[in-house]
Amino acid sequence: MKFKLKDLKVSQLELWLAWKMLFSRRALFGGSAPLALGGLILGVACLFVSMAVMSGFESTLRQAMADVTGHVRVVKTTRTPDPWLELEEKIRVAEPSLVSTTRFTSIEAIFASQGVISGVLIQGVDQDRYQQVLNLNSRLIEGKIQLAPAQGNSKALALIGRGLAEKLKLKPGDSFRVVVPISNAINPGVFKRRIGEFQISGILDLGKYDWNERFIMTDLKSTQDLAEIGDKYMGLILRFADIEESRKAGFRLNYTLGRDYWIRDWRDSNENLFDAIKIERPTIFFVVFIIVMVAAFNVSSTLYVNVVQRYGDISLLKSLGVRSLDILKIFSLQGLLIGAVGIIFGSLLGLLLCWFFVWGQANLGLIQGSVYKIDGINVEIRFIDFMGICFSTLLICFVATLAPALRGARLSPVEGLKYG
Amino acid sequence: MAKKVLLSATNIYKSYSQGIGELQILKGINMQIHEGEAVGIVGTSGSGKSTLLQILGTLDRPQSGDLIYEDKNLLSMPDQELSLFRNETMGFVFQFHHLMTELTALENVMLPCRIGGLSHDESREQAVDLLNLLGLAERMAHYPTQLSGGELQRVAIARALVRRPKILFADEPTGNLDSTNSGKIQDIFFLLKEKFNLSLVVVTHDLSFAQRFPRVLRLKDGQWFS
Repeated sequence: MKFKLKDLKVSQLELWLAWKMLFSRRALFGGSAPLALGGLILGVACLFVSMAVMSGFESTLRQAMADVTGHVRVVKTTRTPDPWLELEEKIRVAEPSLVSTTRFTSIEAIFASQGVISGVLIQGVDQDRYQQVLNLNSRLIEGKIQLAPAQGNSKALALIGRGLAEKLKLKPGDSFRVVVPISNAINPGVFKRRIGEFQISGILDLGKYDWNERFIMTDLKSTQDLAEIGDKYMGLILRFADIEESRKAGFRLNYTLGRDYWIRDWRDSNENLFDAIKIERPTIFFVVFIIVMVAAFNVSSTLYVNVVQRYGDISLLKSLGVRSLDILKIFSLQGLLIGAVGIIFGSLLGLLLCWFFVWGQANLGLIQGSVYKIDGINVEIRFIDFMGICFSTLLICFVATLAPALRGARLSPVEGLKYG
Repeated sequence: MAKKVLLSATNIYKSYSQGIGELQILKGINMQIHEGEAVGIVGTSGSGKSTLLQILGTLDRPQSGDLIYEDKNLLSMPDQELSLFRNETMGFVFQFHHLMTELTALENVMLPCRIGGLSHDESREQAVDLLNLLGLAERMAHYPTQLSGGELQRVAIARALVRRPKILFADEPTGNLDSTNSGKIQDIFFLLKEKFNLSLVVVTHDLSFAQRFPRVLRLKDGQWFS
């Protein structure tokens, strides 16, 4: 079969005939096309949900990192206090995409309330700056985002994780105490205890189970007082214009700031997890794609039967002037049409399953935070994933139809005209 | 004045392989079809009538011989060119109507026009004219399963003629019809032949039909028999 490139252009007639042969009442109710289509829809839906959940997991984790820990952390490795505004300016000059910074200090403490003892991490941040760096508003589930104590109130305000609040039955307005072990400057093996008292201003869903169980955020001054460190701070939390670019900025800051600083970006603390996701995404895509490949074999066998059943029609079309190449195109188009319809309905089914997955997390507790270390997974449908699903499905359907289409194209015009 | 020769077949041989040997179907057939001429071909089963018709209609190729339409050698034409030629020049009616069951009568008749590259509106206009002429105005939107045997064959005739071909080939067109419908279809063939100045080549078993042709050729064992 010789042909030129322009002959491959699909005409309206070929598309119309392919559609009629595939989705006419006779074909739909008398053939195996609906079953083949059903298999493909299920395969595409599986692929859709797998990719959406994988992307959602990655995004959930990344968003939690960005919201709670910031994009990049610059931690001093020396005890010498630095004028932090000078440090910020130095970073801003080196990285113009820097949006804002806040100082921070973290201390480990023991939380004791109503007979329950729990280890917690208290993080102090600049009360007038942290909102520009961290995104806690989106994580508030009760109370309000406030770290600065109200006038006349001596107690420091704190935001606590959801798990901690549930475990200790705390709500906004309640007070709690923490015990901080302070090591002796002369004899580091000797500790004295300091007790800090906080009032809860809000309860946060921090996105990760262990954070929710032990995270307390308060203002920097309260933390410094509690730890008796004067005006020292551990480092800066940075926010950049773009989270992906912030990693590159972090790498560059390693060189800009030198050995006195330790740079960690949002990905570093969960590097293994993010690496695993990166490897798992194509692996899961391939494994689930096997379902689509199996479905494509069904499409192929359906078209084979279709070609055999349509010997008469093929011969007739040839007698009317349809070329062998056109027959090839008509049957290949049928495969592509099955693929396209499979993608449309498979994606709709996938969306429905994604919705059920999200609903199930909220209402059926599908994701146990204590087991999976994450309280909930969003689903995210990425354009690139969707295009990958569309392209690979159409490609496999096209390849699957080539054999039956070639058989139809090679049929002699007189072959099917012998019988009625 | 002698009419122009439209199609000329010379020394046509056709055989099919059968086990270890070859079955000779046509043995050096020569014939000419003139413009506007009606030719009936009769013969016993297996004499090669249908095979000859398929070769004359370029649906099949002989082992050897020449097939000339006006000054074109049809057997040397590539498949693509031959398909277009067939669409524009030849019409076919078969014993079985071979209408596509997914398409309405109108869509079936429009099909050759669409294949030939005519627009939907042009195709529809020509198909409607012909269906009206054949008394099928009320049946255009019907599917083949909703039509009677005679109506099906009339739709098939309309489909064969919608491109206004020069030659109409019919292979046992009344073979599946009762005598009443057979008579009607025969009348239609001759009526349309006159109306469109068609050359008509009909293979038939029906002697009453064959007797209506001014020229009848008899085929026996792949050769003309007088």
